[in-house]
Amino acid sequence: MTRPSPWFIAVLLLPGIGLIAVFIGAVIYIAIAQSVGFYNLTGDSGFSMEFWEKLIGRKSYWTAVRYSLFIGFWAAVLSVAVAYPLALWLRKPFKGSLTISAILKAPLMIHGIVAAFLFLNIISYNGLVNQLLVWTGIFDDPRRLQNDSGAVGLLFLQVWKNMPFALLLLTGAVQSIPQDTLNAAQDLGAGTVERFRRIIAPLTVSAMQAALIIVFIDALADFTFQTTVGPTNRQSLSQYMEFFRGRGRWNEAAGVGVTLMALSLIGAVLMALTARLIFRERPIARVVTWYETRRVEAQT
Amino acid sequence: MSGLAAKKIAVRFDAVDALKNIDLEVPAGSFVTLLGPSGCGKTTLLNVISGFLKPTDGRVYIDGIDVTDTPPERRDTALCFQSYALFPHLSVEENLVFGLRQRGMSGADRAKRLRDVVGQLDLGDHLSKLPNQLSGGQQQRVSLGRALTVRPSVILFDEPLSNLDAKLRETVRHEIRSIQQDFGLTAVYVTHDQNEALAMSDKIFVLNKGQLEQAGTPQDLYHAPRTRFVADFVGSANVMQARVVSRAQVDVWQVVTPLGPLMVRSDTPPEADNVLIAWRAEAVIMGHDPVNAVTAKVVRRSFEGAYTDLFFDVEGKTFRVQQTETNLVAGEDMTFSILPDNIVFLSDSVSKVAS
Repeated sequence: MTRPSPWFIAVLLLPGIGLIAVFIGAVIYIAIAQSVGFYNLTGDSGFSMEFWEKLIGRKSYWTAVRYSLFIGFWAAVLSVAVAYPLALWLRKPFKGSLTISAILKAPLMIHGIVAAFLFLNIISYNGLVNQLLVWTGIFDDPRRLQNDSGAVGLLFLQVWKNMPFALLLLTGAVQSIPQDTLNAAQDLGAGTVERFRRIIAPLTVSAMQAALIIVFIDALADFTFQTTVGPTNRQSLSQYMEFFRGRGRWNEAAGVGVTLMALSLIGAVLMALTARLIFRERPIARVVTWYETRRVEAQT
Repeated sequence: MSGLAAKKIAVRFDAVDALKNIDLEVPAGSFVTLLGPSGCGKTTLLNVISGFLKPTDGRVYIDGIDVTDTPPERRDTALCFQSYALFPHLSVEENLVFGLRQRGMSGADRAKRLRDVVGQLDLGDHLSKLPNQLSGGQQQRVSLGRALTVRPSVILFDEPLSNLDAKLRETVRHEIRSIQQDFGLTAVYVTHDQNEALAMSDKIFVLNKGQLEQAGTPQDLYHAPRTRFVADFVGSANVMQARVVSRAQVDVWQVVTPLGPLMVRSDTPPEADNVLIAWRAEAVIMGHDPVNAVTAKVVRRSFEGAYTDLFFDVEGKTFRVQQTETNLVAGEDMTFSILPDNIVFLSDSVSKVAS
């Protein structure tokens, strides 16, 4: 069979990838253009950095950036951290493992707003959590747990919703590691932590990166959970964007949108690179090994 | 004792007995092989020794210390896997020193140990390569080197040569044996290949259906198999029914067989009047001899290179004679004699033999 020409392949792919590129490209273009003064819906259109200057000059903007990064980072890290042991536990099939796996993935099917309201009910003033804490004596009286200022409830929800996705990716990756490889590491003296650090994590780092990126982007741009269970004293970037949009300040809203896109890209790349550096490349360990070997060679 | 000992090992998976009452002693510095067909329990026994499987019953001792409850990572053993199980993301060098890192050895000591093993196994040119850049034989050497660097009390081999081609298998087989002797290692080697077992071992334990059939030196097993299974599995002997008719001398019995009356010399008497006897295909003398002469028609001839197999049928059963030089062809009569010393009585009771 002769290989079709690259042009022919490109034409065949065009209806799929082409449409995606056009739609995403259009959105990115409009957002960037609007943030620098074009496509102004309420005034004159034309290039201007005025909206960016105003945005960058606001303290609330930087607070929203920091807060969204905080939520995105911890949601990604915690989701992956919870998914790993579960993926390892479910690596070998056992009686009931399929059911457990299905239950763990159920949050993927539940809409965020439904989950958020269910969670609100459970942690409400007279909800189950308060009742349990009072009953066990941990609390003397019920307390307000909703919209906690530390965003613990929000992070819990983010992890609950995103962990199954990380689990899906990691289960496949973990299952692809041959048992002999893990046994070899154990046989050579590696305990549970070392097996994870030196073998499992490096060999599944691609799945880990994918999970970190997707969860980070999803949590960074979250609106539903933040407005339902998030802290009332802080705004996420998506809330901030909605704040401007609600007041007809589209250019500033676009500026926040561009910020979100840029943070998603930079944050995702940084998280992926960091994961790879820590678990796969181990640059420091490599340099130390190289140095020690050469030193002994020189001595002998 | 110094070395390895496994006493009364039993492993049960639900209702299936994977190992039954196995006793194994491996003196320090010796090379012992667990030989048997697929599913006989040899890898299960190796997993018990390495700590990956806890026996249902029995204890494992290394250098006299009970290690039955010690996890694999704290057991002083090193396992060479059939699949090599090299860490695909680590270079050859990192694979080789992996065990030393886990043991917390200093960088300088690690480098010295690495240099020794690399020199021994001729891996110097490959240290920076990843395992997938190596040939099967080189991967095998790295696997062996990784186990050797930690200098374990007991080194375990789980069919390490089964993925290599025949020529390389023979070369690596000699390398392994030579390294084991050079380092004075206590080794347990699992294989289903009788040639490997016979060529490498100080002692062979033959397993069948989770039971120990016979243990002995390669010579013992080959020349004096005690069960039909061992006779058949180690070197494929001719096995046939025999009826003991008289005791001609203190250690010589006269038996009647499908090949006619034969004399059998044996230190141990037959277990019953009707027994199984075995003789090796090559342990015959061509030509007429007054003792144990047999005449038969060759039905098939198979040239095997170093020798030729001559097959003949008696009472619906096919027998085989091996000759290094012969002009006999199918359809011709041949006469040969089986020396009484070359015929052995077999036992059908495994437990009796194992005990």
